[in-house]
Amino acid sequence: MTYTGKILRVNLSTGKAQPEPLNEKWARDYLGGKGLSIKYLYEELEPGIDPLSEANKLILMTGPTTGTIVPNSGKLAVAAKSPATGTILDCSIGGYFAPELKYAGYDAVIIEGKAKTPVYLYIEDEKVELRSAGDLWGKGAHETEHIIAETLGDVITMVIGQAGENLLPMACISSELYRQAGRGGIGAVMGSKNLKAIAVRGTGGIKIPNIRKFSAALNKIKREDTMTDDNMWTYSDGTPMLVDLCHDSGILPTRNFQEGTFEDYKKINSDAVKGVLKAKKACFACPLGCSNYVEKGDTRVEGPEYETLALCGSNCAIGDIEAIIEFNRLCDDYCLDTISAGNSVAFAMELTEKGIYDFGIHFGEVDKYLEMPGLIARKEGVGAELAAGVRAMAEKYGGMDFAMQVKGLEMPGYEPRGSWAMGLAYGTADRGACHMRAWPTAVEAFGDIDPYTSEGKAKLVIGMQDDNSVKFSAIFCDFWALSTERMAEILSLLLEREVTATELTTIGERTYNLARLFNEREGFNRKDDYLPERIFSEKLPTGTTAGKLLPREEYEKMLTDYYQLRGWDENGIITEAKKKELHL
Amino acid sequence: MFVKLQLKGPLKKYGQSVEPFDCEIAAEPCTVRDLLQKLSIPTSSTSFVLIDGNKADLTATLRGGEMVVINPRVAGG
Ligand code: SF4
Repeated sequence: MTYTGKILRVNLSTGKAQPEPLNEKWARDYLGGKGLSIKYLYEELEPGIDPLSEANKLILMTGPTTGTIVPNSGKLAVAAKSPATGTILDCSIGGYFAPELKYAGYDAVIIEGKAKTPVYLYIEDEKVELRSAGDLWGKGAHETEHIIAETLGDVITMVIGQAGENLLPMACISSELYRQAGRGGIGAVMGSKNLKAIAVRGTGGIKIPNIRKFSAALNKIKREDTMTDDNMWTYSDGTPMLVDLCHDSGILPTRNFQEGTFEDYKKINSDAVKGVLKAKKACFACPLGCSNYVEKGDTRVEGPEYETLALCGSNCAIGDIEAIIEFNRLCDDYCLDTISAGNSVAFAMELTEKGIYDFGIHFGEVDKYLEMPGLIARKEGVGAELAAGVRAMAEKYGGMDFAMQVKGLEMPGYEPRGSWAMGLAYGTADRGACHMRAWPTAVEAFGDIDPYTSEGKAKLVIGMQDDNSVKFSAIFCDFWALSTERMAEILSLLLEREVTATELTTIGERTYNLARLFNEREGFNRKDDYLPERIFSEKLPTGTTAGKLLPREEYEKMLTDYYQLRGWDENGIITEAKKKELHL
Repeated sequence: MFVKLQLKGPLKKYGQSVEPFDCEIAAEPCTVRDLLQKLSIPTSSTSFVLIDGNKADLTATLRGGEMVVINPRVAGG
């Protein structure tokens, strides 16, 4: 068994830290990562709590593959109730934090309460300390990590910047300078607890049941299933390759989703990123190494990823790779989610250009654009408005029809009018508009499935959501195109019991339903599963998608099919029969 | 007869150059599928194809002189 069997519970209000046994039954039902952290939150959080109050909990959860040499297993789930949406929130962060935590002897850390003054948490095996972060408060992520490294030496850290301290719904957590748990305001949960950073050092290891058999099996799997054409795009280019694919498919968000193609896409595509590329980087145990480490003058970034190129590039009409890299660096340092920040800036640009409210910034204005991350993170001037996210901006100033969000979470970089199943995936994602719960764009806009029909889309999205749920629970990085059969083979080797693909699919389905149940308890239902009006009623003007929209009646049909197939009622409420079937 | 061919991402290894290059095709009309076969590119490794900037499928006919872009299959997101 590759669980440590131990969870560290830290109460910031009392200053007490105590190890406790991992709930083995839950670990069997949910594996780890996404599923298991949602289970703990579902059981331990009172419904209706304020996500920024001390009643919220922050969970860092590893999985049974964490810390082993299984490919793409270096991810950590970070979960809480979301300050941006009020839904369940689980984020995935790569790098080296997750294995280090496991080597320190813990499957998970549950952080409760609120410290009276700023602190950071230091874990070195059994030694757990809360240290003053008074001198770190107010500093950016990069400086904070450097100071902690100078103080503690060889540790892996997760930190927040000014955005988290100021409780922004778009505040993320940063780790190892360039990696982020990005969405839903997870950084604000840390900020609300007066928790500036978590540093971990582990000197233990993980016992692999039959190392010979395990190594032989892994070598075969890597050869046959990992280092293959459909995974190697991550190494050859990484996500910037999606700029060309999305532009050519007419789904590259441009000028706040007014268009699906961008005239300057070649200035921000993979070739443009390669022009400043210094090195490829990888998370722990990853043979794919998707990360592009770029350098331009004094600016260093791991990225920009596709989402940043799209939302902070074409969506703001910025066709200048250097400007996007600088914007990316600023967001990383302040700890702003680039998807949400890019959306807020683009929305402000459109509101300004339409004369609805003058935020003093127009599409393509590089100088003003580069001022935005600082203004947002510090809540200064117009930044204070943008910091609230597009839904709150629309509630105050208007433009709700083109505030590109679902449940309060800003939309990622795949235009649903050219990928209808992606629309359904955004609508039914557990944490608001998210592309990581299901990514049907790959088979619709880039593949053989007709993007402009509602037929068969519910089944497609459900399959992907359940597969991804178990993938993020096991935990694997989603860039590995991994079948549940393969996953079962790997987990059987690690858990010393026969794990089947069917069992994993059920765990995926159970996890997705539990997330829905959490949201249901918070009052979410069908009314919350809709897309902004722009998607239903404005035709895209250019490229392959010219003249296309997603007719509302087709969306309603997909949604109704989806609920039916899920075993939910017409209002999107999980039926008792489904709960019983999944042991919820 | 030649087409200008651009292979994207990991598909570059199947071509003569990472830049767009001239690729000879059969004199009689040949399809995109024939072109992939000639270069030993498995169709399972490709996503969509562009001919002169327009999306095309594997049965599209090439007559020479076109700009052909072959995109790789992608997973994740
Ligand atoms: S593919 Fe990229 S994000 Fe995924 S584990 Fe590897 S380096 Fe990390």
